[in-house]
Amino acid sequence: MSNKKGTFMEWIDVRFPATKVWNEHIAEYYAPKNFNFWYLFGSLAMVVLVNQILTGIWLTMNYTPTAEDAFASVEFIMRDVNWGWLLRYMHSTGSSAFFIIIYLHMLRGIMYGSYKAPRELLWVFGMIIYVLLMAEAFMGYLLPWGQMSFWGAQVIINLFGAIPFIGEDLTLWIRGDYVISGATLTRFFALHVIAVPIALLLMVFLHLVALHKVGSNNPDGIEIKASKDDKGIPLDGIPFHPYYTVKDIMGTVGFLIFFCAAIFFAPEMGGYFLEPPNFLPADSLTTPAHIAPVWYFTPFYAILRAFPSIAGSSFPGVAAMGLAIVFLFLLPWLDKSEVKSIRYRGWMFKLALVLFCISFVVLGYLGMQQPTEAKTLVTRIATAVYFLFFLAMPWYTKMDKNKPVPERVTD
Amino acid sequence: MATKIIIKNIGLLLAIIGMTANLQAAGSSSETLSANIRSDNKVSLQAGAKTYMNYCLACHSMKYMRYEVLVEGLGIPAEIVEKNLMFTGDRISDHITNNVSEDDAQVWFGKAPPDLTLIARVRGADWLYTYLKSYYADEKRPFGVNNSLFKDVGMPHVLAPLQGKQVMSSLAKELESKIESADLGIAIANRDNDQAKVISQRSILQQATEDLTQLKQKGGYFEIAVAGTQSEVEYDETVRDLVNFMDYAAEPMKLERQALGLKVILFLLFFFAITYFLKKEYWKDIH
Repeated sequence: MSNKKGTFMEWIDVRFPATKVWNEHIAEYYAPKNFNFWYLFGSLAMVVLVNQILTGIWLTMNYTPTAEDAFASVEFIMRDVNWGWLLRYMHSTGSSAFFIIIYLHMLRGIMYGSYKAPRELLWVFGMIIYVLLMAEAFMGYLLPWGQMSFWGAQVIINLFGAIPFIGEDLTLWIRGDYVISGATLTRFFALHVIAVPIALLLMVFLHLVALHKVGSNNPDGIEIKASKDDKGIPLDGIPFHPYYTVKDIMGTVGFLIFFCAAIFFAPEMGGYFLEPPNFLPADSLTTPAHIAPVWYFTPFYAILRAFPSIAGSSFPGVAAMGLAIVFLFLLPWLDKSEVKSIRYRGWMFKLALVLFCISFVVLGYLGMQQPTEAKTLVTRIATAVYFLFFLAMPWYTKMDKNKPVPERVTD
Repeated sequence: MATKIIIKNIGLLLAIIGMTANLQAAGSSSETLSANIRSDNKVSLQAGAKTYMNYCLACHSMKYMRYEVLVEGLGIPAEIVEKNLMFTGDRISDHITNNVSEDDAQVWFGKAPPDLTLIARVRGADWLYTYLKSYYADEKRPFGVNNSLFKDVGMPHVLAPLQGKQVMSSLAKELESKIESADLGIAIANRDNDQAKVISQRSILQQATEDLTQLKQKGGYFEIAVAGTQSEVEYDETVRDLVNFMDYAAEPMKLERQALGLKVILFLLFFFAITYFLKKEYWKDIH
């Protein structure tokens, strides 16, 4: 049996580097042995990506991308398709879960300095994935063709209209019509199910290639490749398989407990995952009383609203919203610290990161609320904190009194 | 150690479920009464379906649902559905529609009556329950009724034969006019820059608003001037059953979803323990 198997693998390996790839990337890929809880989110993001793609394929089988039938076809899936409701809730809950995981994954990167040299490209690829994910989620949200789908898309597409000179034409180009219509729906459908997923998968592949080239960072922010044994194996490294495969399986099951709790007991999540007005079909003549984007966009929506419009143009807010994301791309070059991990950084970075996280959550909350004078003031303060985290970073990371970094990982 | 982690997970899980329950509760304001529906009460759901088909369907379709759901989901025999509850469809597999022309309805009511399949997911059961109990006589409106929850609504009080003629109580009227005059008083005081008066009027407004909320919650905001065919208790029950049915129609798979969810979570908790021990076994030689 084993002999037969061996010859079979040999036959394959002559034609395709199966064993080589397996060893290089799984069985003999050495990862630091001190990964903690925060290092689960990468594999969880893959799990949710697979969930979105699989449930998405099955939803596509019964969804009709026309303005006339889209809303009814979603209810058809919910009521008449076998297990359709489960597929739909897995997909809708999955999109929110995806953002929760990605936000935590990014926070992990910032905490442990995973974007610092030599991992700048790894971080940039990850950021491109994040931007693609936002595009994917935004276009997917139009597809149920409910009131919030329609009016949320209206608000966000109109933002592009604030760009000087080309704005108006740009919105027309995005919509394919003068208003959001069936033409917008069909193109968003095409982009949501084909174009963006392909780009996402490509970027995830590049993200992993870059990761395996430079190797994983770890909670101590030490390069494990710096101390190797005589066989060239990192002393603090362990093979990804079986150690991290079994650990990630445990993490995945732990995540599924929460994920399934949401799917089966709170698919609407009190109106955060599925907004109540979205159970009304899109109606271009009736504007909902209160339009707010889905929760994962609200921090940026709050930043947009923090800036007053100049000469009737909301361009400053739109530009600020864009910059809020651009600054994340620039993190590897803004951080001048000698040290990667928060464990060995001084109080300044720790304080800055705590304030940044608070401002992000506060902005997310305020982005859902109707603006009042007091709320606008808080939004502006939180926006200032958000940007200061980046703008002041070159200085406070340099001035910070870091602790000595050990040679080897600590736990 | 494993049990500790599992207990921690259950704790977190309960916390999340509790949090969502809170969020959902936060959605209902003090404006609405509690509907207290029981999704697993089939008798109530059947009674609600009967009321819906007889009083609501003429104007409000339920076009995303099929008649056969009444058989499969609510346990009403197919013959009874076909004989007594199907006024529009030819076959039991048809969607629950009606024959109202949208243009006519626009003329009659000012707005075409919306489809109500999903209305419970838009408004919530409490809102619907309160709405159907909040019609009162108002001669200024075309149908002679207004609604305190949905002001100047286009829909007539279709359930009036059951409830009778409901009017605003004298205490409610008094409080409403107090609020109105306090509003006006604040505006005048603001114009005159009379800060003391603004404050005194504000406190009157606040007190009256609180009293009004109390009155709405405890009953006494309305009174029945002319009795209908049902007593107040019977009418409440009719509305509760109707709302229960509408809540069911909005998500017929709700009970199935929760029942399956329980099994899934229990399996995952068990499976988590296995994966935990598997991981521990492999990692023995690392830590």
